[in-house]
Amino acid sequence: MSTIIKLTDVSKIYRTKTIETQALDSVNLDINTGEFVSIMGPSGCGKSTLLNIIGLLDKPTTGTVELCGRTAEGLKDKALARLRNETLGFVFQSFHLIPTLSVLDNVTVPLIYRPGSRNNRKLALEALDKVGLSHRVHHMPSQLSGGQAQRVAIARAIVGNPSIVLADEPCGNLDSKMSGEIMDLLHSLNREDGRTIVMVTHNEDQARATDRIIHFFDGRRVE
Amino acid sequence: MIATHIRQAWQLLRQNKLFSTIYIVGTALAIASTTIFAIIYYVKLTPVYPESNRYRMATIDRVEQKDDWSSMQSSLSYSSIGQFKNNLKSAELISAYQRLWGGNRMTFNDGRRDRNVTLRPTDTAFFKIFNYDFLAGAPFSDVDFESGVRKAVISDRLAEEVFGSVDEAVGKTVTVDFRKYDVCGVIREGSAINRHSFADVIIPYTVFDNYAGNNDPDTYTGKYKILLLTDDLPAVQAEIKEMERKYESSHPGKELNFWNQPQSAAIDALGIDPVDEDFDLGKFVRYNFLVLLTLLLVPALNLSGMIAGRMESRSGELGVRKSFGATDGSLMSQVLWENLILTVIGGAIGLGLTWITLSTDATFVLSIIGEKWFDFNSAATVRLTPDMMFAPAIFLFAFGVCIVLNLLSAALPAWLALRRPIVKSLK
Repeated sequence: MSTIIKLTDVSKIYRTKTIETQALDSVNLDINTGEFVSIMGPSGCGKSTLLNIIGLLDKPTTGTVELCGRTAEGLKDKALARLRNETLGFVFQSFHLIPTLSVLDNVTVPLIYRPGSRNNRKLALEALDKVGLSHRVHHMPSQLSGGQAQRVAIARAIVGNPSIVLADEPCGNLDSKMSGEIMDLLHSLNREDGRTIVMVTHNEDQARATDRIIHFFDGRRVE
Repeated sequence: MIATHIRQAWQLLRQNKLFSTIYIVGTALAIASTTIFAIIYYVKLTPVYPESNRYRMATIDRVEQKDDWSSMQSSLSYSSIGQFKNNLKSAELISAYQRLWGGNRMTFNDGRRDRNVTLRPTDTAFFKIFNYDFLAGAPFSDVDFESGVRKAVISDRLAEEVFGSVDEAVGKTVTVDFRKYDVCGVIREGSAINRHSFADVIIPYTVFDNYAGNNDPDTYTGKYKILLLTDDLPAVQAEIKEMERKYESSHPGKELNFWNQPQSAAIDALGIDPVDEDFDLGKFVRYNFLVLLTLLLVPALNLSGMIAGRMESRSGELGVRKSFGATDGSLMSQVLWENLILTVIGGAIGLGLTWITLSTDATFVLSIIGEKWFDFNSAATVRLTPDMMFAPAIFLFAFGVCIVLNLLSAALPAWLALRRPIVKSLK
């Protein structure tokens, strides 16, 4: 299997005038295509920072990030945006649906930033069908339950057919029943579509159900 | 993408009613105040009825004559009209009208109360310089003018007020300053903003006994204003300079000064003093453009503060959009589009407000903003016709102001919001 995510000696230091915090310390990480990986660790250990760096939402202080064989080092903002759009889908703990857009328009968001993208509506409807929400297309986010909102967020994450889905505690705001549904959905995306999924979680049961668990502590990978 | 922006702007408008209302009202007031000025300048500067020859029209308003002991500045004499007709070969047509000081009273013999009127004693060329629509009758003729017959052309508004209808007026008599005039024609009234062409009653100046003054060819000061049509204003100005030179060479110790007259109708309408020979139109336009921008800056700063607050609450959305591949440029474009929709709605309401206000009582509105349009003491009320208020140029101006207001108010808060790192936006 080929490596789809490769982090080499990645460190992240947050500096203020008075304090310096090492969020990640020389992290090396290889994730293969089609893997479902969980990242676990106590709060403040650098899990989310790692996910942000993999998602090109934040830049490492040192080290390199490669996605799908393309290095992110030295890329300008526009190129980074393009790489995010083409290769990554995000699922956030608090859903982050845009409250002023309908379900359908929320799912369409990644496509409108893709040059030359056509049939946006059709693709968005297919994605919503996949997450079982084709009957809610014209609803507004405020009219959805938590589980439904996260399903919409997942539809938005996969609508552009990215190779990698990054999920930051996707069930963190959901009850156990809804969490189960969301996890089933993520597993089916991994199994059926072959998507690589990297998920940050505090839930050991959810983590055990994935292919690999990576533990973090104080910004370092621990075995 | 733009359709999505519009849909989202509509949703934002519905979901944030207070913000949207304040924003739209603020914009509407800003657009209304600037559009009122735009309409005034449109009426003053473009070839609106009846001043369709405005781009070819020029005026001579004042002259100065002085010698070692005295100096006099005033309007022009009757004899100077003849001098101009003889010397200004580059002028296609020359007309003169008397400048009257004090009110002109129209009286009635049926018990109705007197009223002020704007009386315009002039010649027949006046009707060629201004293209009045004659709704009934015709202008007084050259023969009427030469013989000083008391004939009058009156405005449709006056005809309706005095005789009940336009058709009834011709052949009837009006009394102004205790002189009776036979109405020979009725014109569609122009706007009182245009001080040369506006009049309630137009009569031959030859009806006055002393219309020629002393008729001394060496006296240039008097009570007339000169209007002329030309395709070559610099040539006419050179001819005037030649008149000055000839006068001064034949009258040692005396000076004749027309400054840089004739002035174009535009310069005249802007109220530029002909004595100001250093006047620079480009500088004037730039200055007024800066004034307009400054006027817009005040509401723009207020609106900008509101948008900054809203951008703060939309920080998460910007982060999400960036996560999914939006660039700063595309997000800036989105914010400006959304804002433009609100601004255009405000602009449309502002235009509506302008029209309603000016249609209801333009005279009052213009008096509030200190616009001086009366040349004479008159009861004239400003009429602004639909072709003045609904001109495409006014729409374009209002839209332009919307764009400027939009950029001034939205660009900076959007830029500041977009500078925030994605990770912080998503927190």
